[in-house]
Amino acid sequence: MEEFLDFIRSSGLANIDWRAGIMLAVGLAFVYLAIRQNREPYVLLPIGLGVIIANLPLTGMTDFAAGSSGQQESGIFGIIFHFGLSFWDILPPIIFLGLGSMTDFSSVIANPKTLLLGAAAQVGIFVAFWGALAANGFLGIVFAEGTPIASQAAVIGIIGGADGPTTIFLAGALAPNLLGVTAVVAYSYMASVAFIQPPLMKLLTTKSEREIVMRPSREVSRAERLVFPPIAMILIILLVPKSAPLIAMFMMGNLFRESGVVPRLADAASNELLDVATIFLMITVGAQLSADRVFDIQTLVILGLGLVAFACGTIGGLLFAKIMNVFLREKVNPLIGSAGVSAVPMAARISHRVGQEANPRSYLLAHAMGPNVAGVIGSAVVAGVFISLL
Amino acid sequence: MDQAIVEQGVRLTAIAMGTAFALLLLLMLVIAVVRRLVAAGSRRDSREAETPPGKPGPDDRDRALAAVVAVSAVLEQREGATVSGGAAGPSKALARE
Repeated sequence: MEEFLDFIRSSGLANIDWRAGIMLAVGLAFVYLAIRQNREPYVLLPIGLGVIIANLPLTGMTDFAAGSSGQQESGIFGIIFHFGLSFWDILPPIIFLGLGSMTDFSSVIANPKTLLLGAAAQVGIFVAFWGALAANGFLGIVFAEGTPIASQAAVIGIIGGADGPTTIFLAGALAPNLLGVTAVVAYSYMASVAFIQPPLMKLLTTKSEREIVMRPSREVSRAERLVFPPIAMILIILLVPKSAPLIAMFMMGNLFRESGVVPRLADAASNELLDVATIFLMITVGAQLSADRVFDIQTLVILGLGLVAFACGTIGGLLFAKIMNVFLREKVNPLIGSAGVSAVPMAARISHRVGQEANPRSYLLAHAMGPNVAGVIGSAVVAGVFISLL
Repeated sequence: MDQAIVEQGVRLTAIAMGTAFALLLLLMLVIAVVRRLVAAGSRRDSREAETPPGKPGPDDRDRALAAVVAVSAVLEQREGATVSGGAAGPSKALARE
């Protein structure tokens, strides 16, 4: 009988608390949204499963014990988190290699002024950065114990870049304790841009502005597509070397694709490698969301700041497009400015959709991909600057 | 808020935002320059591919020289033939050739 009671006491049922129960429900909700509503399934399904695993008691799957005395005491997600993110931070660059091999720079090359929209949309990062500093200064909130407040604020701010791998990369480098929460907040808002952006887009533009029809982009030669990635890589890395892990992998992946001479490498980077990295990264990120990390005021503040960052990034891109129109002879549709927040390609699709609602003859998708890709480069550059200076 | 934190925040914001804008502006310039270079290169290629008939190249000059030598030789031969063979004109001699 005593053995039976010991068994019961060591079971998960005897050790689960209400907070873990709520997190299990959150994990199941992510799984439901992914499978039933097909909402960002490549992100929400593995993260949801990771959340469920992290909140089942006594599994040890997220434990990590350093040193020889810790033999057989580490779980698979604890090991992946430690070596893949916290210690070496290699999974986000691998994701960037795959993203680069899937990216077409033609829209940027055809209409280079859209690069500025990608820069303007980075304003959301700094609004959240200052919000986090203010929360610490005025309310005394500490987001990650033992980490300088500027580093904490930078990791929270980068959520506004709307780029999951960049958020994870910066958090792994500056504040690993914030990695799970910031990554999930970033991916959650990226999955929700369809709800966050359109009201702001309609509020800040007139109907006539939304109706602007942009001419189809010019044909971009193969030579231009071949020359751009290496030159961009060299220039960016010369100026911000700490952005190299992201920028170099992104541009290398793109050159694999554009060169046309290594189709197997381009395929592997954009399929098998990206898929394997996504599996490990997303489940591990979800597994960081244990109840004891989530149920506190800090997480709620990060959720709020993330939303503000997304909104301000959207507003920054829209307003900058309107300012550009004052000086341009051939006007741009300001709706493409909101795509500068990255969130590739969801934000570009939303620009296109809202544009079509205003004018069915307007095709903005190709034009919006310019600021969208520029946003990826811009947020990686900002992350590199943060790492350099903090 | 601590004054030092505020100053650090201002520095970070200025440098990070400035760098992002500066780099993307630089990429705009690079794209413009590459576009001009590629366009100039393709213009030169297309000019070489379709050289107009009025502008002879070195090979054309050699061929023309060879033709002049050949015609001169024929004419010289023809003059000789006229002296010895009667009324056949230069055109007939050329036609026979």
